Amino acid sequence: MANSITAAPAVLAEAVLESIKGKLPVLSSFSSIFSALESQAGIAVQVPLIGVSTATEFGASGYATQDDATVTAATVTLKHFKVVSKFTPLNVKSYGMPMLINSFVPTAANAIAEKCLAEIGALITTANYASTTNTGAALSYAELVTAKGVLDTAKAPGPYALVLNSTYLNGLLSDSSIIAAAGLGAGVITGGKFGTLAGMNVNQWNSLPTNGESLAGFACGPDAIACAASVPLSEIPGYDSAIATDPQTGLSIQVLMGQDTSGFYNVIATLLFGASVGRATSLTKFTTA
Amino acid sequence: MTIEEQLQSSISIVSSLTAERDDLRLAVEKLTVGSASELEALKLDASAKDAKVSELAAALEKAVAFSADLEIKISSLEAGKVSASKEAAKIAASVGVSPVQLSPSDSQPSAEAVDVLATFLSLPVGSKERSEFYAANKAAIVKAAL
Repeated sequence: MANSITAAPAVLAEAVLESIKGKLPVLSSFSSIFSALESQAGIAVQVPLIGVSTATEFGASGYATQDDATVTAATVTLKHFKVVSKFTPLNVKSYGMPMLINSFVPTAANAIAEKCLAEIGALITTANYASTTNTGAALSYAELVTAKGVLDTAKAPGPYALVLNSTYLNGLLSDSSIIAAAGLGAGVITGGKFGTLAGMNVNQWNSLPTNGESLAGFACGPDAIACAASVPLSEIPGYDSAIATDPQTGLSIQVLMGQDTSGFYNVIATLLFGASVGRATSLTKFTTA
Repeated sequence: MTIEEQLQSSISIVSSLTAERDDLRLAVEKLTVGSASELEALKLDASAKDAKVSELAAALEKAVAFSADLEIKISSLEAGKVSASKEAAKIAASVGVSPVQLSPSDSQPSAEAVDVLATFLSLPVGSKERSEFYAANKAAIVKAAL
């Protein structure tokens, strides 16, 4: 066992980030700005929406004419989320980092991922996105194609994402038209994963909220939802802190670790996250009623 | 010397010799009895030692058998320990956690692990190199980190 905990937050942050990435693949389907810069709750971030632009011929107005979609950015207000776990000094001394990796990391990653998803899920309402189809108890392949058509008509940019709760997704796993499809059926049956369906990247969201509107899923373009994330300024005297950042997305997690006055070691995973409605016509909902 | 005087002298010599003979007989009898009892004691002692040797031999045999039993039990427990570790790893993997080896008896990180941790910490945060280095050397980094 090393003599200090200085290195521990850096390793824990990397481990939490690695775990959380696997729980939030859906974030790559939205417009986002993820930063490792220190910020604070309540800060508004302008998130550029991934739009459909049309190139025009250079003319007298030069570059002054705007060519991209009507809505080009959404304002996202960051909220500060955290997970705090307490460990006795004896446990930390006896079992060290492996104990923290095996007990704190999955708990923190799951809790933070759920909180981030809840922020997004709360946006999927009729007030924010008018397009809704009552697809009943089960979703069919034909209804997916119709949803894709809705997004096509709205000129939503690709790639499209299909986000479904487990009931709908498991129903599609036994859809005869999907299973029978050449080259797709085997993968669906053995791996239980669709990959893409009707040109949309399929994501399962077990905790998708119904929002009092019987929501069971949605299909969207990346400009429908804007997300932003950052890390808070760490200001706990005597605590060691570190940040881990995903090189691909920029998503960052901060971990702080220190001993409080009660003698316990506090291990904290934290981030700033927010989500906002982007282009309202780039999302269509599926409801069970 | 008169004949009476000679007789008197002979009688006294005979008496003296008789007394000496009696003393010698007594001494011989004493020695005979002493040797017999000493021999008897030695025999008893030897017999006791024989019994002790037999007892120790039996105890040793029992200890050897017990040791063999223990070796079997240790092998069985070692095998069980491996299975438990594998089971724990399976459970951890099922909830999306990459299990990390935990061995309290081997808590001191190696110099190599310490070097690996130092390399990890020296890489820029958010870089692909740092992320890949962590993934490739997770066990050593975790071991040396705390």
